Amino acid sequence: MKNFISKVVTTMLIATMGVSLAGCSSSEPTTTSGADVSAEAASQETIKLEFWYSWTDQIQENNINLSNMFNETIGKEKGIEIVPVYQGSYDETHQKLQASYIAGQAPALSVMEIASTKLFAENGIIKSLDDYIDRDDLDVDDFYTGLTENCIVDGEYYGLPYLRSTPILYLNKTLLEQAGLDPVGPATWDEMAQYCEVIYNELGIVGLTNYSYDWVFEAFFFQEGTSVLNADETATNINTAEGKKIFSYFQDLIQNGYAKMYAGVDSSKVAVDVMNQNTAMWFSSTGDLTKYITLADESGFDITASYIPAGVTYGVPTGGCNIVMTTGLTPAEEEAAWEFMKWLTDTEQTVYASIYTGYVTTRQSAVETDEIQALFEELPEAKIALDQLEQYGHGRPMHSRYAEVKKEFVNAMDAVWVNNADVDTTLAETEAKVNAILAN
Amino acid sequence: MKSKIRPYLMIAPAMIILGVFVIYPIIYMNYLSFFSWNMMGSMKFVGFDNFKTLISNKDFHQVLGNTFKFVFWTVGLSVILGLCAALYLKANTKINAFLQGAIFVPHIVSLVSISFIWMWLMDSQYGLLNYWLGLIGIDPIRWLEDPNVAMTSIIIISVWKSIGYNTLILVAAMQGVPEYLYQAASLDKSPKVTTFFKITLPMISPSLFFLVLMNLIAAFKIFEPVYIITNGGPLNSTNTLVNMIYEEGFVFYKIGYASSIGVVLMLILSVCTVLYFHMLSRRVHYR
Repeated sequence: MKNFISKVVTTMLIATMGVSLAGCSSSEPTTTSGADVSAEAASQETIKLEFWYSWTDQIQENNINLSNMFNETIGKEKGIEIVPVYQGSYDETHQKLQASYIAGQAPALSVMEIASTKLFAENGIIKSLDDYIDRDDLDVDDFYTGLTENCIVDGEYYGLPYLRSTPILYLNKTLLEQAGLDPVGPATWDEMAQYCEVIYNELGIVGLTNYSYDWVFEAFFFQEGTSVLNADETATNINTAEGKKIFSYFQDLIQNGYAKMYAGVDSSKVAVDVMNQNTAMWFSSTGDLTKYITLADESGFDITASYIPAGVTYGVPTGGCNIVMTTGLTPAEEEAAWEFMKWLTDTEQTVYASIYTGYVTTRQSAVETDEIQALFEELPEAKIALDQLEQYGHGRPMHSRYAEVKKEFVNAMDAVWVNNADVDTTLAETEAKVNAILAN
Repeated sequence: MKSKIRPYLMIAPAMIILGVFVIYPIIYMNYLSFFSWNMMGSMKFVGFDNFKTLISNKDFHQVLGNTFKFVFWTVGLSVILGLCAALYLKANTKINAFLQGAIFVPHIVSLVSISFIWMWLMDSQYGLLNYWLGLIGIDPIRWLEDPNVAMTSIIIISVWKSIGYNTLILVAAMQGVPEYLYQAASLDKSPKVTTFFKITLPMISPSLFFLVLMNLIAAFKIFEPVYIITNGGPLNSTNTLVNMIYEEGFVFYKIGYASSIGVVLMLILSVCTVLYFHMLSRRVHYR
């Protein structure tokens, strides 16, 4: 009996030691925050920092390439190693960032979808960069203003613009020409309605395909000279004359068969219609430009892009992600993280990222480079996207409950555009729900 | 003394895992349901406010209704259809063995893959289902887009997925019924229906009982197809309790509120389990 117990105890002890040893060895290569490294020691040893990013394909390659470039140059010099780690979509990245922060395992650096900046800043997860910006005299005015709006919370910078975009209108040039229309595209919503009607009559397909797309929805409101939420984000403008106009306009197009609208959850169906040439126009991110050019090539048609048509004015929200630094780092780690952020968003890297991924060029100094000018010559659509951003780009709402608000907007669009619900009652209900969420 | 410690040592590993991954989270969930917390900032004690909000929330009423509708139809259909299939397949022939395997396949495939397959089968424009309906002159159905139809579609998918497992368990149970009972029945010239209700059903009732309970619990926890195919839409018509917990907790960052929904789900499941054991266990024929 004694033997048995001692055996069990020994086994358990060994097991415990094994686990804790495994714990040590597995955490060693990824030591980021929490490690008690003094600044002095860190300057001699290499500081490893995790950098979390979203999305795959070119975007992933871009993140890995840039991290490697940094590690081989400045990183080598200053003893910093950036470890890029893929985390899924923006939402997944945010969820994991939050969970890892609570667990004390947060990465030093991460991308962050711009509308979430405030939520994470207010809760102290990401760090204000103002001290560093002032100290290094970083020229933040070189970024386009439409892009920096969502970096700033209560007057302080919490992120730097990284892979940023705006929605634009994509056009199937081949189909437009077949229907006898000017492939430059409609400049106003009235022209858009005419285009759709002609396409329907000439080709028997819908002119415009879209889905309950909250981001483009924000653009519709900017074009009516208003916005989805009021300036201090205490109420929504959905149940206004402008809101009703937007909802009725698309409802009419859909009922006549001139346009097709998918539910929010069916967003992927738009690309199928595009590929099968069942639609001539659709909205999407400027970041999708290369994807749609490839798709059009494979399916044998030409595409082009234009501004989203104007109401009383042009206007689009910006989107994409900033790069942010988490709190709770040692001074040495903070310094290293800042070094990478600064480098990553500098002119040269901005040029690289924007050519590699198709995201908009975030810095004015980058636009002036020969590489970007050459890109514009080769790909005029890239310039259209940038011009639209430069002149008509706005920030997105940043209310910490905006994720919930977005869901109500999508539900309203689903109700009216997909299930033909009454505009007035739907908008009144949505307004009440959204205002209750914002007040909370 | 020593012999008293030994059994506890033996069960310790299992109990530690159970404690860390099941019991502690349940206690913590109950605790969280009294707080307003976004998992990042400070926790604020709000008493029963989360539950009050929940009770007055129309969306929650709809979600509760959706969940019960889903559970009722999924469990009912998959057990009854599973029973029919088992009756047909219980004879031990080669073709039946193949059919049994075929019907069991959906159970092995991950729900995520199944969801994607059905998403395309049920596509209103390009889907195979509507194409077949078109061949016999039926107008296309908006399987996943119409708020009145979407829940039925999710139920169809879930029933399709779970029939195979139910059939397998029931076939095994039926093959375990001693042959002499049937011989006695046939000597008495008992009609097939009577044989089924008086012999087969009572003899397989332990398995049936087990299946209904397992199906019930699984159905209340439905998440993957809802999350992947409809994300609770259109217009909240397929939103279920677990999807709502996920959404409130990890998309909207309201972990206290999400926990209060978790508490409600736990209560429902506890009541179901207790009631079920109490009412039906007496009727179940255990050998």
